[in-house]
Amino acid sequence: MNTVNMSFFHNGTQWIARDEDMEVAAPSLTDLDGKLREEVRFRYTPSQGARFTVNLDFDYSTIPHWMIQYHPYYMHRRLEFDY
Amino acid sequence: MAEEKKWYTGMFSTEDWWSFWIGLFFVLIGIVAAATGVDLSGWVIGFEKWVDISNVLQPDHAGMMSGISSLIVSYIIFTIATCIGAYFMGMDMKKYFWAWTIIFWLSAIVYVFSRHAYIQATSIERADFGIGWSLSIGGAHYIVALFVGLLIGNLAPKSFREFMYHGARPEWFIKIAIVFLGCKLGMKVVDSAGHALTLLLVGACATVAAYLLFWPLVYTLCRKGFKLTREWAATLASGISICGVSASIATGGAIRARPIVPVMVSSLIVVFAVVELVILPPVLTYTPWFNEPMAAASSLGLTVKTDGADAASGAITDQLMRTRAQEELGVQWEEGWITSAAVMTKIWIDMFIGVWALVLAMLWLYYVERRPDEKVQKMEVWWRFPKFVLGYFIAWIAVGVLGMTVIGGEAMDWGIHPFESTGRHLFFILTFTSIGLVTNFRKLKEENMGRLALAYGLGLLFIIIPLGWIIAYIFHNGMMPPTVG
Repeated sequence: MNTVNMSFFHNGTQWIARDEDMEVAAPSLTDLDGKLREEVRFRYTPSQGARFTVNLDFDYSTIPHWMIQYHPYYMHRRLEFDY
Repeated sequence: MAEEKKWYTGMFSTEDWWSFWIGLFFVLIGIVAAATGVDLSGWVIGFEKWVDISNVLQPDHAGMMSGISSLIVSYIIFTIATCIGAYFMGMDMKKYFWAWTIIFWLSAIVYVFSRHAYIQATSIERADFGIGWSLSIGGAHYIVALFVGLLIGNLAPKSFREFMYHGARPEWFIKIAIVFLGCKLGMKVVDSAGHALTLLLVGACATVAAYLLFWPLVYTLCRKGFKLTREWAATLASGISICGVSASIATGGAIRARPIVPVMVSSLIVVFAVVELVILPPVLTYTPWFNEPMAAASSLGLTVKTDGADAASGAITDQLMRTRAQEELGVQWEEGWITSAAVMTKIWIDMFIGVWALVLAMLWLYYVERRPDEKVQKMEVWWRFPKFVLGYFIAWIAVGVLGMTVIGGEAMDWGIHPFESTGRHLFFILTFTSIGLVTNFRKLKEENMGRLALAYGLGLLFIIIPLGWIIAYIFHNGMMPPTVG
């Protein structure tokens, strides 16, 4: 299955998605998704018609510690790129 | 590399799940004690009203051990339980242990001194204590604990305040207490099934009405009145109208807001919740709301915006109203019903957060921001579902069913009382101290907080509280707590 699991967070100015192999940053999520689509194309060279799923799990440790007790997580995004 | 999120993700790493595990662990001990007659639960420390300080500390099962021993045993057992949870949640164990220890003993000291008969004895009890006057402030220990926490949380050196954050977990403590409260309702089912089920159903109805009214009104106020952007308006609307910090985090995540948005909104919510916690219980007790105690308590679930502050304000209102009823009406209402009404509404609100977040996520991704590559996952509902609520209902059903059948009501009461009453009160006071510790009024001075605070204050004052009162009255009017005996 063509699945990539990454974590992501916001550093105050940009959304940053990363795993051990790649890191992508953009000021908006729409831009981030576009860059991720291209990065996946570059790294995995998907064949025509292939679908790549990118799971983005928000790095909850970047939320202030005192808030974490109120809710178990911030967000989890699933992107599906059709090539 | 991050792992894919599964349905069981977080089962051993979040406070929500650990309130489920710890709460049910002690409930199970209580049930085993009830079933076998072996005293596994009577060690839990209780704090009695006193004029002779040697009488203040009493284990729940009198005579099982001395009061001091009971306090030490309670400290050791609850410390081990919460430290296990803290370990699996990846907390700094050394800091958690010492901060928890300070909070526990500080709360115990406050509890002891605030239970003096001159402070808490009702006029009817004065003769028993041999005193001629008393302030008759039921729940004074909670109020004092809150103020002690606030003093430290706002005036202590920054390094100490930040250190105390490691152990000040009001949401965790209150969720454990709420699981214990499930036993209380289980016992109530044994005594009065109709009353408990009515409370469950009207709580659900009131919650749905609140969701459909509160959120659109506050969102419109923020957008039109305060010209806030969609991400700020939606997050703030959820924070004010649903369930405070958890709703603002859930909504922020659902609409893919920058994390700074729920962080700032949450800082505001915590401060306002404490203000409500101090003001609303006496307002409800000393106005005509006193004639509608269950409706009044339910309104707290709709208007006080964190689980901790809601349950805490319910507990104070419970104490204040029962004291007044005893003094002025000569009626002794059963303890816990008013708190239960406040918590029940909030539990329904909590359960719907996941559904609400899913609705908002679909609305935002498919219609507002239109990101074609992103898919909304239905599992959002489960991931955001408050797991302690499962513990609450399991405790309720287990105690209710077993108490009515194989174990019997009297035996169940003996086994479970140390947790459903005495232990619950202990975790309540830990919550009060912790709420004070994490509430930092300096947050209001932060940049850009003024407009948000104004929007929040006006929304609360002119939309949430009046409508919450009306909805609570419509669904709960005429309901009264059962009387003792």
